[in-house]
Amino acid sequence: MTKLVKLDVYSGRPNPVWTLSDDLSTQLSTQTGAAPSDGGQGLGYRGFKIIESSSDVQQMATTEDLIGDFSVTSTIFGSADLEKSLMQSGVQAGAIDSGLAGYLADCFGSSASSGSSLTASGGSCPTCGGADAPSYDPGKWNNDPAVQRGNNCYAYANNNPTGTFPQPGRGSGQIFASLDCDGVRPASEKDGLVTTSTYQASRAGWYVALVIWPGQDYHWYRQDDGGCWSHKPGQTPARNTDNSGAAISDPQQCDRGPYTTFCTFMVSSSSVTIS
Amino acid sequence: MVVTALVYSGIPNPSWTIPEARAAEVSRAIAGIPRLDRDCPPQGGLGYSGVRVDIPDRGGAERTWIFAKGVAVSGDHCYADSGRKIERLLLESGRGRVDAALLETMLR
Repeated sequence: MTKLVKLDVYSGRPNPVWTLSDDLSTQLSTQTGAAPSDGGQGLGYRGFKIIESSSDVQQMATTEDLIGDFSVTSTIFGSADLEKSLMQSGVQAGAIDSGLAGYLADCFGSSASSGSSLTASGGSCPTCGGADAPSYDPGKWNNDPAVQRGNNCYAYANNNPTGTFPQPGRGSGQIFASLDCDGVRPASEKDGLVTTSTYQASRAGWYVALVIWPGQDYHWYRQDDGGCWSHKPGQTPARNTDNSGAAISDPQQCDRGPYTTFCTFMVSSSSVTIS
Repeated sequence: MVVTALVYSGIPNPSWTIPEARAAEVSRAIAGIPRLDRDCPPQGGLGYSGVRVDIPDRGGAERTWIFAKGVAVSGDHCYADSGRKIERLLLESGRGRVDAALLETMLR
């Protein structure tokens, strides 16, 4: 069994990995305690993972695709001194270059506050153009487990907790044909949503936004009466923060995780039929 | 014992029932995990955010656990899932029932 450090930072390419020295291993065991960190979420720096690999690790392995099967035993995130020590060991091992080290140094001081909280505080929101925009009221969606489980992003965006995990098009008799913009948008139009190019004009109803995880899934945001946006990721709680824990002033610009394709803004209203 | 991978927002999440032998293994693992004296982390977000298991008891009620990032949450309490062992055990039980590429992403 080999003890290694993995820097969890990349999304597409393999993360840097290097061997954990005995000195650092001792330092970690005395400073991290029993409670694990969650690590950060979203894109970019998410912490250092201490891992054990059962494979015969090559001495010079520097990326996670070279180490075979492994298990994470702890995560270091939000402990600036430990994070700096781990980063320096990665630089010495040749796994972290100077550009990445500079980026990480900027992250360490702020990592404690960069988690994925559900409720945003402060921040500026755009003017809400939807005359009937709902208020942000997460309790309505999160307090009852049956409501939370039975409603998805589409129910939330249309402010209608049907409890049926509604699907675009099903309310009007024909569910979407494909998991892309050209499949989901017209299906939701049949339910009564109206496509629009902007969310800034004043009008009846409220604005929603459609995004796509290519080939996998769709997701919806809605603009609340305060002007910022909120959403309900599937069966998980409704929230008004993005995957980085930031308030959402524009769903085109926020951290959307794997939902990388922005399709369009649309307008919902109480006359939309979903099921 | 029903397992649900919390990964999708719009379409239904992958969900499956665990065979009895694996269910017994999961129950033993859960019975032994230590409780953490700390606030539970926020759940959710877009993309894979954890795996849920609903465990029926003899009275017909269910106890729900959510495993994510080395922490398990059940009710108002959270517990340590060291090395994501139980989370991985639950996800592995979906092999053959869940898209293979998606499963590997969730196990990573």
